[in-house]
Amino acid sequence: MGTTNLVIKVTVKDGAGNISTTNVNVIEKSNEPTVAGGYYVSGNGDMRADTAGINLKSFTQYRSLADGNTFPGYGKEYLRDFISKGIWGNFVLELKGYGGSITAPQTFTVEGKSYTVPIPNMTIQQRPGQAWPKAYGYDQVTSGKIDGLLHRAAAQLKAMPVGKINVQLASEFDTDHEFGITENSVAYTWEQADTRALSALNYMLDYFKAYGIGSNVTFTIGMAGFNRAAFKRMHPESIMPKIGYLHFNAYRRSASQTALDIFKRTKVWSDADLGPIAKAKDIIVAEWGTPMSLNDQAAFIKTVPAAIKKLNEESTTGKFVMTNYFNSNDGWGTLSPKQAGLDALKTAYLTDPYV
Amino acid sequence: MANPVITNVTVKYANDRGYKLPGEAAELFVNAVDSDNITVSVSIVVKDSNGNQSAPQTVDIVQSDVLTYSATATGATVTQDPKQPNHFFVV
Repeated sequence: MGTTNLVIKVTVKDGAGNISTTNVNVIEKSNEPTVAGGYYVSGNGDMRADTAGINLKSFTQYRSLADGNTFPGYGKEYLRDFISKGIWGNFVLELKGYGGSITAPQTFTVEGKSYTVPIPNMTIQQRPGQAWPKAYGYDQVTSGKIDGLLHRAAAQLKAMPVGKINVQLASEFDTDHEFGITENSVAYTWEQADTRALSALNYMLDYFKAYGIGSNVTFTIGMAGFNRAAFKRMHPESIMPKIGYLHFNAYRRSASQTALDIFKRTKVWSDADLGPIAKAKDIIVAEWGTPMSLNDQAAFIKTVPAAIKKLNEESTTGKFVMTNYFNSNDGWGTLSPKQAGLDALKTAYLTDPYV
Repeated sequence: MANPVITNVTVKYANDRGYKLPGEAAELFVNAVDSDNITVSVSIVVKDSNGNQSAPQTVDIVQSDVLTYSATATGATVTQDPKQPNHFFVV
């Protein structure tokens, strides 16, 4: 809910015309949601020092299903405390293996059940001239070959404190599929990859539901949101009852782009293209940022509350409910100078609609 | 002649919510005193026909101007309660 202080001037007059006045604040909150202002440090870095005093209400983390500890994550016990304190956790759960280190099948036991999970068979993010990351393939998901990974993640998720947790399945399916994919060395186009991903998404969402994750846990489909057709393809109405929110990321690319521009783009496509169930979903932005090269990070960050407030006030569909700044380790959004950026976030997250 | 003293203004929200929603009314209750008021102490003694007399009882009577109240705001509509002049509705 956005908050407005209505200042009421009260005047009292006696019989001789002598006057006293005082001002009184009446607090009015709009019906708009209070937006969770959040943060992420590249590499899942410890965010406690950076976020002290910035009215942190949410955070983003990245996990691979291949990780032995997905929730809360290796060395991330403090996140249990965050969630217990009401800070909303957005955990990105990826089929992608981090660091190219999955060279052998994994054998492990979850709740008394033994699993052996094969090595990933999919390549994604196939940018020319770059190494193509490996991920567990969509057919490996739907054929049950990685059920052990899902079971392990589900059990750890269920053991998390009862607080608000969103599990974002994949970081950005559109970035993963942009140049096509391969599974078992068979190539698929972007469109074909989206279809296969939706099958895998349905399988995973059904798996988590059948396992019995608490209602405090929701799911989203991870999207960068830069391609209109892909955003539409990845949000069929049929899958909507299984997800809690829409998701996309919002990055500024040039000095001419305003905060309103970057958050509005995918929202407009969503409103125009998606079905009624989909576009009614509120929106999580797991990553937003502005490049340090534009040399105006602090000033730009301070414009974000007004942009989000305006978008939410104007929206007749879903509203933005979480926006997490990505203090990345490259040009995307690295806060530099860091303290000025953190101070700006502190100011922003103490401004309507973040309070 | 001194100005009246506004001792406090209480804001009451619907359902004790701590805030109002758009279109909803919050209530203001203004407490004020006329700083030029005069207090007259009246001592009352009751005597019977035998000359027995009660202990005196003192009553203070405050003589004050009738205060008039008003309230205004930008971005809100303020209405005075016609039956209770120190009571306002803010919508």
